[in-house]
Amino acid sequence: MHKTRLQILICGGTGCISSGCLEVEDALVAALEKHGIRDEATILKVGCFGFCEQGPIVKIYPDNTFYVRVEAKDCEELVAEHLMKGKHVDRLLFKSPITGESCHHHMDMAFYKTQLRIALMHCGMVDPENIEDYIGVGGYEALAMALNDLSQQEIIDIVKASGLRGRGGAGFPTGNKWQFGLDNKSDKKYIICNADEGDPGAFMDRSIMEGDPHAVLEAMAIAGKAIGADEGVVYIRAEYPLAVNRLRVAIAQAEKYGLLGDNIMGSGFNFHVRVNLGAGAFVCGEETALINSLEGQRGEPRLRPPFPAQKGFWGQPTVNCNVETYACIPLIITRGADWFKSFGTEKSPGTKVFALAGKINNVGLIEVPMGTTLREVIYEIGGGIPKGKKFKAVQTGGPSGGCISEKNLDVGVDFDTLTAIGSMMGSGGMIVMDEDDCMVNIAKFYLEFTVEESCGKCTPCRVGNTRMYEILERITQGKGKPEDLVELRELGQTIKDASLCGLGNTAPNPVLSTLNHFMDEYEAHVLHGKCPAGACKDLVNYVITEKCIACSLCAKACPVNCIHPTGSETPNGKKKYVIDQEACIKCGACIPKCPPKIGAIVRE
Amino acid sequence: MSDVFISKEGVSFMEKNEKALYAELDAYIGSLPTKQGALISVLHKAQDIFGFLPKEVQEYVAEKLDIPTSKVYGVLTFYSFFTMTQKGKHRVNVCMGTACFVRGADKVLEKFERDLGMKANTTREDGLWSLDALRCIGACGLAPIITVDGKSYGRLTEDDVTGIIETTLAKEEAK
Amino acid sequence: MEKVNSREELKTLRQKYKDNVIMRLVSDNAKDRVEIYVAIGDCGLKSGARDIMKVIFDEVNAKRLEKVSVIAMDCVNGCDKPDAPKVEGNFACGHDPTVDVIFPGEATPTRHGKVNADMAKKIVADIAARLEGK
Repeated sequence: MHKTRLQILICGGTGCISSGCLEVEDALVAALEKHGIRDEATILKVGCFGFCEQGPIVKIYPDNTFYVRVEAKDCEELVAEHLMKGKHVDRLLFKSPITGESCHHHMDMAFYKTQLRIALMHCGMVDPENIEDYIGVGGYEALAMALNDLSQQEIIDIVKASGLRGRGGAGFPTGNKWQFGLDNKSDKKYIICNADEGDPGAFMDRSIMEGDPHAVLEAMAIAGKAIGADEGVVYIRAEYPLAVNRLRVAIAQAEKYGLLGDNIMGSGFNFHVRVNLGAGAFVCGEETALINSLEGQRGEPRLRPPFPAQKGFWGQPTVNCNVETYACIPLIITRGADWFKSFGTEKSPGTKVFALAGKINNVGLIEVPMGTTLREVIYEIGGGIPKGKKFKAVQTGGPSGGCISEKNLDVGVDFDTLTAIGSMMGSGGMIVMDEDDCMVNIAKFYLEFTVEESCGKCTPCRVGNTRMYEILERITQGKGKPEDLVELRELGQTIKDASLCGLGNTAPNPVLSTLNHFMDEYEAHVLHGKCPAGACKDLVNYVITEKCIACSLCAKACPVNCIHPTGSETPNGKKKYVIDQEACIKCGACIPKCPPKIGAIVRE
Repeated sequence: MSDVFISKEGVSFMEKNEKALYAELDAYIGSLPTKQGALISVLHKAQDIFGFLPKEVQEYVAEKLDIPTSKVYGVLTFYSFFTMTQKGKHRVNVCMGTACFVRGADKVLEKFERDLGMKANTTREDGLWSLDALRCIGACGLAPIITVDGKSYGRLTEDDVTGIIETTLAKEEAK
Repeated sequence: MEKVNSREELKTLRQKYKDNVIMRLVSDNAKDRVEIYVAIGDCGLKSGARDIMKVIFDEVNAKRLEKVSVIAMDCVNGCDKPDAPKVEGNFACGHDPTVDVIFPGEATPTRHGKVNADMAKKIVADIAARLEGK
């Protein structure tokens, strides 16, 4: 039954690879060999466990031990103590930030306790480069059902009944989309998987493709059967080399097993999938722009209608869904629509994966039932704000979304509630901000992104967003006027109403939502010339007060040599230091150098 | 074309025969089932081979795919992944995704600009360094994160920057 | 590598490859599994507990007891931790190899001392019988 007594899983997602998991793997193998127990353990590199903050993560089965921040140099001890003697290596266990106690089973951690994994069910559990693992957990059974037991309409009816809504942004009902794909008759149809995860700070889709690529492929084949398509394309960011590679490996294996390709499982149904690399254009997340890009064109959106389900890729009916949406499909088919609907809220059933990042203790990839409150996500799963700082806002939906303030933290997250409070679900990026973040500056950050990524086809988006950006730039430089705030609102609304595609329709959201929830910060900039968070450089001055003891540490740290001993004298006759405001670049490097008990440098 | 052309693998252009590079591109184009819609894939391959996409390569691709050069130029300038300028010997990419931004990536980038004496999104005149601000690389748990010649450095502060530059240069001397 | 030509063949493959993942599936749902702990700390090691662990693991494997996990643990009797409280049924070091068995829902394990290969096989056989009885 078991090939070895132990299975050691190493998180092999992009995050953990960056933090050194490959070296950990080598060191583990070396240590196992040294102790003569190489044959007792199988080592598997799997997809993301989600707890990126604590990576690289090593999980030992059947012991259920979850080691965090493991480095290559720890492996000898891990093998010598845990594997040879059955002793936990306490220093590598996760410590609860609240009680300080060690947790060795991941299900005891607050980070995992409230999560519910559907789209990520097998992510971090199966070996993504070995189709056998996926088949072993019941993979491709949903496709077998779709090919043998279900008619095209029956498949679509199940998806419709599940209430699944597109996880890529707007939340369009997936079953309806498939229905349009089926109803539009043609000899040739296409299935597209949108894996062009362009939101900065979002890594849900990447993690799914890296951790469980077959779930996406299986779902695409099911969609192909449902609408009568025999070709699928995954449009994926070129910036995700690991995901690209794992998808390619998965496609090749599935073809070898006859689970993709011609005559799948002897059913007579053919479905081929290929991978198409994007080239770095945020607008290609919009489906008509994506289709243009697939055809080798500039990724500019097309006018709708006709919708892709009518006239899409090469003018043929095309169904395009996002990675996470597909990842839910196999389980919906095998476990039924009612099972899926038993999670989440009435209008947004199921779960949602979020990439939780920013000023939060537990950065990571999480999946929770729809309707979970932001407070639960941030304080229970996320473990709160680091360094005891005060929460200010959480941003959802990336450059298309908005900032949510403290007063809305008890809102249960789903497609409709987020829209109602001026943000949106988007693909699931969730960035937490604290008291040090200036909301005007954040709005400017997002708008800079959209201005750069606007394809330029329609004027409201191309010119309007640029004008808004200029206004924000003025405000952050202290040159804003009260009329600017009115102008921002009007301009924002016009861009929303008049733009051609989703990018323009949503681009003003970060500005409008911060205007709604953080008007006081805008006013502080415009009326008083102050940045309350101290983030806008032009509105901040660094000053050395009379407390200075002339130790010169700050002057040594200054990268532009603008701190000089030209002030009044200290009691022992040395000259106090003064910052030359003309030359100062406001990098703030001097502040941490001033001894804490002196604290002579202030930001004002 | 410049004499000190460095492709992304760090192989000097002069060491490799230019003809061989074009032959590699030819082979790829020849292997495509159809040229229809293939422009972006071909540009990916060309950038892989040449390291960047100068005018000569654009013209070559246009001729091979039987499309106007203006179209090749139009498509490649639309996408940020493609570059028409050669990159430096050492490539620093600073992630400026939101998660990195709120954790101070802008300060890290500024420190690189100061230490290397160059602006972001340029290549230094001596061809030694390229400094680019990137959109999210998706390793938000390690924010702020940068990559230098493909190696990642995470959870950085601006104080780490000088050391990273020195390490990179030391590696080169060791070779 | 075999090509799947029908739904039945997929099912056969699934049965085969379940072996790859069954350890992870059962461990992730730890509430429902039987756990056999073998003490392989310093004293256990000296008394040959590793060999006993292997016997138990091989037996569990041979009987295909999917919901039984064989797990290594530290010394139970605390000879290296002099302050450890002595609990009832706790043995001195001389009683190694020690094997604990705990069924789902049980608060305390059943402890076996001085386990030899035959006893180890018997322990697994008893677990199998008890699981079948359920």
